[in-house]
Amino acid sequence: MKKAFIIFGTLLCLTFSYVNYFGISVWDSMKIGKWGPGGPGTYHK
Amino acid sequence: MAGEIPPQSAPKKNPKVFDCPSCGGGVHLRALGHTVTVVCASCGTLIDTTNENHKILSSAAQKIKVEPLIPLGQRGKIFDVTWEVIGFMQRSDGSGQYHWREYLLFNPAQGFRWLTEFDGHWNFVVSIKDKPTLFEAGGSSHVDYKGKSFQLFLKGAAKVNFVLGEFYWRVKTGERVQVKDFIAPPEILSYEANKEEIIWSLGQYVAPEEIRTAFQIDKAMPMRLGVAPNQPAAFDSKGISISNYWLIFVAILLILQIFFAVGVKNEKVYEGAFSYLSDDLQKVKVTPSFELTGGKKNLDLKFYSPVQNSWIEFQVDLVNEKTGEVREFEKGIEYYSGTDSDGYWTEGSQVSHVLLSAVPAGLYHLNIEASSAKTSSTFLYATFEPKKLDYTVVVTRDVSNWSNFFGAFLALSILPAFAWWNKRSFERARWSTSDYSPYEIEEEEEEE
Repeated sequence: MKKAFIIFGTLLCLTFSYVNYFGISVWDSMKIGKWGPGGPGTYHK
Repeated sequence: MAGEIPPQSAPKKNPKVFDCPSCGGGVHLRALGHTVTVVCASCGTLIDTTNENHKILSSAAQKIKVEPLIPLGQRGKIFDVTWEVIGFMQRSDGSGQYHWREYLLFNPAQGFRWLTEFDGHWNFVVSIKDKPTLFEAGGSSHVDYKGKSFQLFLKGAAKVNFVLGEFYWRVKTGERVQVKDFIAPPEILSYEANKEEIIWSLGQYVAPEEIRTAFQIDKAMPMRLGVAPNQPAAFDSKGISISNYWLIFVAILLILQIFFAVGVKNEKVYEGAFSYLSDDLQKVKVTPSFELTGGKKNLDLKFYSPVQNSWIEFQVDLVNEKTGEVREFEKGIEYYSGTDSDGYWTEGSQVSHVLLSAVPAGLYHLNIEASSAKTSSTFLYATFEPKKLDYTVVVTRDVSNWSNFFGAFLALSILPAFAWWNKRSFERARWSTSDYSPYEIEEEEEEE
């Protein structure tokens, strides 16, 4: 149990560093759709 | 009631056997030179072994007969020492409601130990010579022994109901002592006192499987019922606990968060003002292009509109001009205020934010389509004029963001929270059989 928690905590800290470095907001990514060429938006310019 | 004896040379393989002076049955002496009394397995006669003629101390048949799970003479290895079962007794509390069994173990070099069993829980017990320090205050008390604090768990009496085999004192059925148990799982300190002496002994919880393996027990082991006073909790382990690791990881996350929060550029890349007109033919407003630099970083879009008892909603596309990739989202602003019997109130905000994560570098623009109520209105009376609302948009690159930290904090806390809840339930179950439960005081306070 303790070993599993140490592994989980270590992976969590590494993931946390990764997402912060690349400006990923996990919560906001879940709320807003992903990029997609020809997606629902329209190129207006 | 375990005792220490001076080490002897090699253990005697063959016990001395003599005829019971009462029934003539064979009586074994395994701890020769230490045994004071022995109970004949055939007739239950209590024999004085210190007397050359094996004087009968008591020939009255015992009221009950109990078959020990581990037979006398059985050997087993516990904590790397081989012990032989030489005596057995069943005792009960003062009311006679609860019974437990005690096996006297002997090793010529180590002396005597006890193996006790109650409700399927086992303890390996040794008597101690140095007296623990007793602290009593109010209704509770504890003892300190070798730097460890033991909490009072039980006070009462213990009575011998049945004896079998040999003992190093003059044992007899019906013998009563006053007992107190103090616990510091997985250990238990027991105090036993009669008119002549006070004995302290230290017990260590042993898993039933270990007892079964050690003594090669092929019968069914007594089923474990409830939680024993000194049974270690499943989540207890030696060394650093999960909660301490949790603290370490939270500290690491906090340091990382501060590091990233301090390192952000917070660069404003665009600011523009627009107006919404309900009868505007050009619904979509297109911002000038703005450059995003520095790899993948987040993007904060701040919308402001001085709405009053109204709302405005934006359908926004962030368009990468090179690739044509679009990220679309909606965001609304609503703000209401008024006065009622409780005074002035407000609801909502005139500002709202959207955070877009991991936006690659490139040239971008925004397509913004605003919508609101078709007309200007009050709560009671609608005025049929086209509605006009101003709004501003501010785009900021690489801003600090705490949502990842709180998400990670929650994810990290699930297992420790479960472990804490599990341990607490376990402790409540442990103390439920005690008159000195700290949880009863808590429950009383909760009820009040």
